Amino acid sequence: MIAAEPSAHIEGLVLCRVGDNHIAFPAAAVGSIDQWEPGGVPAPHARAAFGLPAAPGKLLVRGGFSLVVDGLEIVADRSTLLPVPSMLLGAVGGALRGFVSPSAGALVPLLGLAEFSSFVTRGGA
Amino acid sequence: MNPLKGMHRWVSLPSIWAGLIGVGLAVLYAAFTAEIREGTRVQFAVILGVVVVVANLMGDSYEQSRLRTLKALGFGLEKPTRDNLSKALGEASRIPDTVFWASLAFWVVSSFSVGVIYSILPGVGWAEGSRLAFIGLALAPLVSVLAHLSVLRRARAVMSRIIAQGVATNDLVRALPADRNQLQRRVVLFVAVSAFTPLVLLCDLVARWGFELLATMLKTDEAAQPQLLAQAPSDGLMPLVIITGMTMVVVVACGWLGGLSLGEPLRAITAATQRIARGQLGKSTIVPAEDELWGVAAAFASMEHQLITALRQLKDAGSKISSTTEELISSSLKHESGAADQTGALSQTSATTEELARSAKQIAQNASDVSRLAQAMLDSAQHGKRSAGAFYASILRVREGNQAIADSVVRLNKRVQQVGRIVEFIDGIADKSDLLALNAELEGTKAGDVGRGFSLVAAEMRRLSESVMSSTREINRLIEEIRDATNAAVMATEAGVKATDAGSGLARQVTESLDRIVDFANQTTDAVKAITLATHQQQSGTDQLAAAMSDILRSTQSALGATAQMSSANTDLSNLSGELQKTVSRFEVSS
Amino acid sequence: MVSLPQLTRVPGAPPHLLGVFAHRGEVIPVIDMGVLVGTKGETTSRRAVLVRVPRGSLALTAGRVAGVSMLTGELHAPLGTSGVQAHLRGPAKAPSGEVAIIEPEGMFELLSKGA
Repeated sequence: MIAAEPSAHIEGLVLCRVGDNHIAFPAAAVGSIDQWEPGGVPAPHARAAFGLPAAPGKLLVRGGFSLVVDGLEIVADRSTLLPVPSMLLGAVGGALRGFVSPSAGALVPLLGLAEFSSFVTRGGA
Repeated sequence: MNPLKGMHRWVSLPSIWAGLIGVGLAVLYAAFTAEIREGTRVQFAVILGVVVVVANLMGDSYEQSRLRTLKALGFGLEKPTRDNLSKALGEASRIPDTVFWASLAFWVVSSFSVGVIYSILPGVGWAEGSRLAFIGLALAPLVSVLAHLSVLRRARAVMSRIIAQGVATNDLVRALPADRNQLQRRVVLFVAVSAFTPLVLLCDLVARWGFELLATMLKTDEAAQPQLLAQAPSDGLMPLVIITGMTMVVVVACGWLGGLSLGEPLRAITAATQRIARGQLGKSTIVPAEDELWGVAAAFASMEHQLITALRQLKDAGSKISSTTEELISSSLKHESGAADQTGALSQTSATTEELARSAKQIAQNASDVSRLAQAMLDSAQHGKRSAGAFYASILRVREGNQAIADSVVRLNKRVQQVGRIVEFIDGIADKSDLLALNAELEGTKAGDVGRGFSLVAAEMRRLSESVMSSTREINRLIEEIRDATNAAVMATEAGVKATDAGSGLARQVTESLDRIVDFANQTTDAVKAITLATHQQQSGTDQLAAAMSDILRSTQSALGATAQMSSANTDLSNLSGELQKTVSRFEVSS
Repeated sequence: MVSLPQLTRVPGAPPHLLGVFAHRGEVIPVIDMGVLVGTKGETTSRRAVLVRVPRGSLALTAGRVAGVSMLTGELHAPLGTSGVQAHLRGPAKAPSGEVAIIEPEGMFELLSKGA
């Protein structure tokens, strides 16, 4: 398990903004990016996981899974990957892969797109 | 109860008593003079009785026939109308004379009848019958006078009753004309009868007695004759005294009755006169009387009637004068106060008129000033009119300018909207570019080191797109501001157009008003000129008016003096009428 | 005892998990004890107690630190048989009054299951 390995790195992140919070996906996990409006293509919204209402944003698509976020940017540089604490192992429907720190002092949860999409679709919180 | 019931019988009854007294006297005389032969006394009594009864019945019937109306009124067969009462009054007034003449006639006839009938009795000669007739004839005037006087008093009483039934004084005077002035004749006749009857009877008695004595002396011898002569006076004295006494009683009774018949009316008239002298004019007194006495009584009654009427009129006139004078006084007082008020008012009016004259002068002066002011006003108004015209033209130009601005702003707004659509288009393109760049960057990143350069280019392109988008957002914001500004400008210019519309309307109104003002000012100037002229004329008029008012005031003051005099004269008149009423009220005139 | 930095929220986390923070290269979850024991408040606290157990670390928020005291004597019995109460023992006498003593390892286990 990656999370268990200490002092790892990851290259290519899609850093997403959801309200005031941030989540990150591995760039490889994202197929394409598109625009999304409420009433458009039915898709789970990451805001739901933070208890926020839906809003226009970008649609991340990979295979049969999709997820809407408020905004995103792509980080091509290497980022430090911190392991999942043992207490949070299996949290977020098993979507939590660790925490990245794209800039100093910042800590962003790294998620698997498919698992997180499923988690949000299930309405887990 | 009819007050006239039985009066016809009552009034004539004394004639029967008088006749019977006369018969008594005649029988007594006949008895003393021994006229009735022995053996014929019964026959004589029968003859006498029959003749007396017949004569009385006939006389009474005659008298009653002369009292027909009185009898009818007494029995209620006739109504007591004015005519009937007047007739009854006339009957009652004539009955004493009727009784006298009837009594005289029946006595004469009866005397002859008794004498003749007695003469034809067997053994009775004509001499004896004529003696009886003589006695009756001798007593006839006295008996008639007695009957007349005794009936007279009753007749007056009946007349009084009839008058009390309501005979007016005028009717009375008409019914009993006071033109028979026979008092003298009546007194002469009465005195003659009173003297004649005793004289005749005494002469007859003395003669009779002398003849008897002579005859007796002739029959007796001479020796007895002196004794007879000495005895004779005492023999003949008794019958003489009795007969004379009886006759004198009758004569005195007649005299008493005659005196009463004269005195009673005079006493009544005297009493009435004294009553009037005391001022008591109750009802007019009517004293029934005859001849000159009736003339006096009637004249007195007329006089009293006239006096009552005059006094009543005087009383009415007095009260009327009194009330009229009071009214006159009050009205004169009113008039006086009215005149005083009038004088006061006129004084004020006079003063006012003088003020008016002064004011008129002032007005004339003011009118001249006003005329100058009006001319100035006219000039100002014309100046104002020119200014208002210029203002109106300016307003119209401003309005046109405003309209042009409004059109420009609308055009600008349209342009801005077009720009907005273009910017929207650009924004869409930038958005799509951003997305493309994002996906390209993703792909580059996924490719690892190989795609690093690609990623950098894509990121750069993405930044470019984002910069475009931020610019379009800025442009949109500016467009919104421009839109707000143009909207405000449109509204402002519309308000400006409206304001200039209102301003131009106002300016037009002002121009029109000033036109009117100029007209008015023209008219005013004309009017003021006319007023100036009129006030100059009025000034002289008011001067004349003030003078006239002074004259009127003087006249009114003198009229006030005259009114005061009239008032005092009225007061005198009132006092006089009061005195008149007081004088009249001393007479008690009851209706 | 640590002062908490800006916490990172974990999506879909239970209410008592306030977030995580990095501490010496390690991600530490922060647990709000007030929410856990059912009392409201103390969520704005910036202080926490860092607890290390053999399996890992966690931070428990504290509204106010009353002081540090030594506890002696026998072990207290748990307050309850299930849930949070099973891992709290007491009451124990302390100078500031009666306190409950957290059993760290049991608590860690419980939270790991619930999370």
